[in-house]
Amino acid sequence: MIVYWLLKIFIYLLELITAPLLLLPVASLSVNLTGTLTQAGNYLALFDLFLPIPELFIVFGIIVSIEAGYFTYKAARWIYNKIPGIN
Amino acid sequence: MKKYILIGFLAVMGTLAFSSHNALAFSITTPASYVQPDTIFLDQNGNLEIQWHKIQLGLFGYDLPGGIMVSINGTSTDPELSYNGPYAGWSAGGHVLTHGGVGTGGPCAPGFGSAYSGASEGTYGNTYGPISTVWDANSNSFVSTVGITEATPIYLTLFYYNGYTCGVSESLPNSTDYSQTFYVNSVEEPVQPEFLQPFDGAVIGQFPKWDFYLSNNSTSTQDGIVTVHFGTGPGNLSLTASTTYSGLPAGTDTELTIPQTYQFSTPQGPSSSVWYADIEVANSSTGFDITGSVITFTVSNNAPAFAPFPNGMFNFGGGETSSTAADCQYTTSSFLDDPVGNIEEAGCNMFIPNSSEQNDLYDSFHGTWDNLSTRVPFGYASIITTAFTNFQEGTNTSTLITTTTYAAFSSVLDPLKAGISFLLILMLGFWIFYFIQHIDL
Repeated sequence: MIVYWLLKIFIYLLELITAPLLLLPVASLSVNLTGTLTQAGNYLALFDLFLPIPELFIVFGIIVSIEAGYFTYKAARWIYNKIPGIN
Repeated sequence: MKKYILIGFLAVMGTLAFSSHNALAFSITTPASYVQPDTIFLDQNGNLEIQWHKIQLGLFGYDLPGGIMVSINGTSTDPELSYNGPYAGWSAGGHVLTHGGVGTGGPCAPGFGSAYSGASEGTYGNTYGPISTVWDANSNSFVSTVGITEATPIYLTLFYYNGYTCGVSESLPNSTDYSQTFYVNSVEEPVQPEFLQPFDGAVIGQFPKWDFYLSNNSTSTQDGIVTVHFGTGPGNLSLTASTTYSGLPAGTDTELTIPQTYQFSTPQGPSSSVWYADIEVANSSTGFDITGSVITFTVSNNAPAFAPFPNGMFNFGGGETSSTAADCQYTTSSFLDDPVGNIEEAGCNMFIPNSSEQNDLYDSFHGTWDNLSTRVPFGYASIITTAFTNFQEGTNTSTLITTTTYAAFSSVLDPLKAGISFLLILMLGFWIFYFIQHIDL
């Protein structure tokens, strides 16, 4: 009971924090682009025999996400500091 | 502190961006003479994927390259998905399936010709897709796989072509005689209905509304019309009540109701009567039209307008029914007979969520997660990971090495891949550690 409600409150908080993101549109790509990606995936599958391609993509994606987020943060800070009267 | 909050946020967003979708799978039970598919997937984005475990090529003893033409044949009511003619796609660049992957541009496309190992029979395990389009010979273009249903025949056409233009003996005939058609025997639709009130076997009075769940198993919102058919026999469901739904949230069960105005019983009629009902979902977002199983319920003048679920049963929606098996079962005796056991059980219940609570937590968390994973920009990562599903699922496809050869080398290649994966993740850990150490906020 106690653990359940603690986790439930945590999920409610998570929903509250992420609620603004739901205002963003649902991502969609054109059929042609999806088909192209699928075909690229088939070609990449050749290398999956001896290289962990999914792990490579995930690691690469995490690094790019962190760096992009950090860059965005720095850019936002820079703009914020340009506002007159704010140090 | 700010540093750790930022890192935590970035880690959550990074993980979220790479969450992948589960495919909806259904099985084919009838093995074919020349192609034995294991499963056909129609994933949540409507993409088609075919997996098979055996293909026999090289009939007549010829050492031929071969391929498979994948197409689908719609019905007369679905002409845009029709397949016309055995040679469709040859000159126009249809999907040509080989052991190594997909070649487009005709039978001599790169990668073509490696599906056959040289013997009179080849046996492979392989995967085709997921593809979002298939070849439509009528329009000479690719059409979307969205719209494939369990009633849609899927053509897997083995063809053995004259290899003259590909450098093989010109004496061998072109042939597409070995086409096979497979009918999907079941499909998990993006939107599934389930009765809540009345439920199957319920005894209920004159009830004011039809109450049911619509489970949206897809990753996008869905629109459509839902209709309840009901009547006095399973073959006599002529009475209807319907409503529309729009923006059905992805990955969740949504409860809908339809006002019920039909007078099931009259004072002059019998005190109780058996009725039958089913739910039809015409999902306009994907073109799917599904009718749920027929339920039976008894309308009794003396019963309440709401039928409680039988003891020991909870309804979780989504077609699942679970028993309330006690997770903290220490005793069945009363407190006076077994005080220690009762206290233990109370303490256990206090801290350990039971099955229904665990299910609720799981659904809540995944509902939030799934909603976010479809939004810009995270949704793009999901689409990409879905497109690359074929090697995420561990399939081994290569024109360089056959499955048989791969099996022989797997004892070397698998540990090698595991080792490289470990090094990658270790390096990522070091990189994150270094990043946190030197971050400048």
